[in-house]
Amino acid sequence: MSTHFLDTLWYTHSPVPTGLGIAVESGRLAEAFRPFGTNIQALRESNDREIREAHFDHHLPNSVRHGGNTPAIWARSTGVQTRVIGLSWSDEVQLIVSNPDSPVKTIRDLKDRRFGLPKWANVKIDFNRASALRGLENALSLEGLEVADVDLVDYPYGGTHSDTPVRHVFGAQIRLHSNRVRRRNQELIGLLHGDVDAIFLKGAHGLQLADEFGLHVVVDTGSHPDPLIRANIGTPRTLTVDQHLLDEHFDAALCIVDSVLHAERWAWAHPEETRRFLARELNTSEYWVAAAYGEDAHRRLRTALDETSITALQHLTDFLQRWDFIPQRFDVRDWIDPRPLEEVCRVI
Amino acid sequence: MSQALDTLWYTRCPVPTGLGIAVQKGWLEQTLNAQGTAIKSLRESENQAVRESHFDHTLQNSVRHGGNIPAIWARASGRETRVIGLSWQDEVQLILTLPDSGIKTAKDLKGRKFGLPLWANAQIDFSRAQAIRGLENALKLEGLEVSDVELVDYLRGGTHSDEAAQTVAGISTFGGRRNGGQNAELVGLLRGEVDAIFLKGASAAHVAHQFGLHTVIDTGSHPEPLIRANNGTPRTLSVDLHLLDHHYDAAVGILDSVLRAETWAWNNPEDTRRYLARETNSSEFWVTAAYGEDAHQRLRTNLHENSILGLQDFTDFLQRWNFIPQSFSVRDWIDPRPLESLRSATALAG
Repeated sequence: MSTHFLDTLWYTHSPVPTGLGIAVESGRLAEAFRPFGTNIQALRESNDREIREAHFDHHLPNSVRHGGNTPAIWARSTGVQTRVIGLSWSDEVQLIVSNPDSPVKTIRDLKDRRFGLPKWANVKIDFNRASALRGLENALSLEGLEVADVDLVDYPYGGTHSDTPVRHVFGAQIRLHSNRVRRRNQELIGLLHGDVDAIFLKGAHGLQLADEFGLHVVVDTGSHPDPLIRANIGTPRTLTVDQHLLDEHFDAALCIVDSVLHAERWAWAHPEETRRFLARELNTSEYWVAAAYGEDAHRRLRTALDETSITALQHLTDFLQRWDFIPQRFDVRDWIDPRPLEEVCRVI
Repeated sequence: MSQALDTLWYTRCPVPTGLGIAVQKGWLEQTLNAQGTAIKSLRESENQAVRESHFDHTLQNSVRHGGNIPAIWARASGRETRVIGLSWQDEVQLILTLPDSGIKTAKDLKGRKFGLPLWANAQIDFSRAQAIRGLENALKLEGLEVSDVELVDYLRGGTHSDEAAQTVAGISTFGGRRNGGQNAELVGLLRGEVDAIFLKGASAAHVAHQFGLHTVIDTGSHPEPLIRANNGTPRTLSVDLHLLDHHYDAAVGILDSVLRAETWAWNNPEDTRRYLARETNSSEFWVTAAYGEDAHQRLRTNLHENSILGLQDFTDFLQRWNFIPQSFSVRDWIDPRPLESLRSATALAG
């Protein structure tokens, strides 16, 4: 196993709870790579749009990503040589919401109603649409209904998610100068207008919006006992690297996994500080973090390769293929490289 | 003569206040406990009358640091309270429109529809008062008046104290979930029913960004303090007269812990930002967007002349708009003794 000098490691994490996010924010990742002389760089903050886009298409050599599984699955499906080296499962709220005065109160009431979905026309992988559709399909399945039983209404968005660099301000990943029309939650505005009867919202921001507008929660699939009903873009999240990194810089992969696992262990023992890290990462309040990810949010940061997560990942991959978000399905077990995790766990 | 006090009730608005920091640091409790006094949060009470005291200040032996409108209203309605400190922390005060409304400046508001909250059952509708104040001041800069704009009311039932504050992971919200949402006028704006609305503080900065709204003007950043004067500028630190008459040491203790918290804040920007994010139930980023990167330095409770003038001007405004039954001299409302006692004690110690 050859390991060569690595000049720069590109990292990226979605603005959600991830072990890599904590490792980066606490300085642990930089510290771990310092003895090797490796620079670590945030690809979302790059001035080069192509590099920023790697958060979604993972085309950059020597990069690591921890975040929503949908772009990672898409990249793999289109032939990008990446490997999953860890999976983490932080349950989060996944809401189907209606207007407070709407007759739509239960899942069954969604039949023949209008459901608003985002549709990003120019992106390679429309993960917003995929996660909303997944939430809807899973909710309907609980009552023996299908997506075909609902009238889907598209809310188009232009541009892409990489048009402007992210600025890292007080822990939050901010895009202040992005197109203001694109930032608007068009489905929510459609709901408020009464143009649609229900929409999907998730995570801390979704919960805050539901509260702010007093929306009725039809169902929270994120708290259902069946993990396959909860499985969505964030459940599980993928920790991925490119094949080149594994082949040429295996030590770097070990170092990444080691940093992530240590950051998570630290989190389990530090609920208060972790909640603050997560609030900064999500650009929300500690209250909304606790409300959306649980008071035990710090304990939910666990990167492993357990069977439930692998099964759910396969299920999601099949879902994405079925809805044509990815060109073909694949066996996620072939995608996983368990070696770095096994080696680090042996040492820990 | 100061007598022993069993319980002090405290409350503060979900905004940056020295009292809020003092509570979070545990210093209010520490100082009062040393005097044999327990402290209780009135917003977390199970009793609505107790919670409502945040607005009407009826509770004996209570201290409140927050928006001045309910405090001014309580005083104007005959409540025996005294202001023992004022803090002036500028915040964004935004007149917001949809990006495609064609309204670019305050002048363009003429003849347009402006959405205002109307809390029919609230004793004092502070959210309406502060919105009218922001609107009036914005229009004034262009030689316009509120009557040049068409006001549209968004009627709300309920009151601001219907539900107790909720606590998750030791973090309290200011109040429970308000059925029907927080800002009916925001819904109206997003629906296109009105052309503009007023929002302020960290949530305003967040909402404006979240929905890509156009900021017509931020009166909170105008150089003239009387244009900036509103519900939060200055904020009042007030106690009931009974507390001052019978438990003077408690009043001095309160102020002591507030000033201690503020002095600490000036030297601890990072931690202060976190506390302010918790107080406002917002993120650290939005706290700095609304209150400045130097938010920690702006926590200063005193009795400066500018604050007193702002408070008087605003009291007169509230009377002019019939939010309070009569105006009064705010100087008669202020009791500077606790602040003076503290300063002379500090001088002696120094």
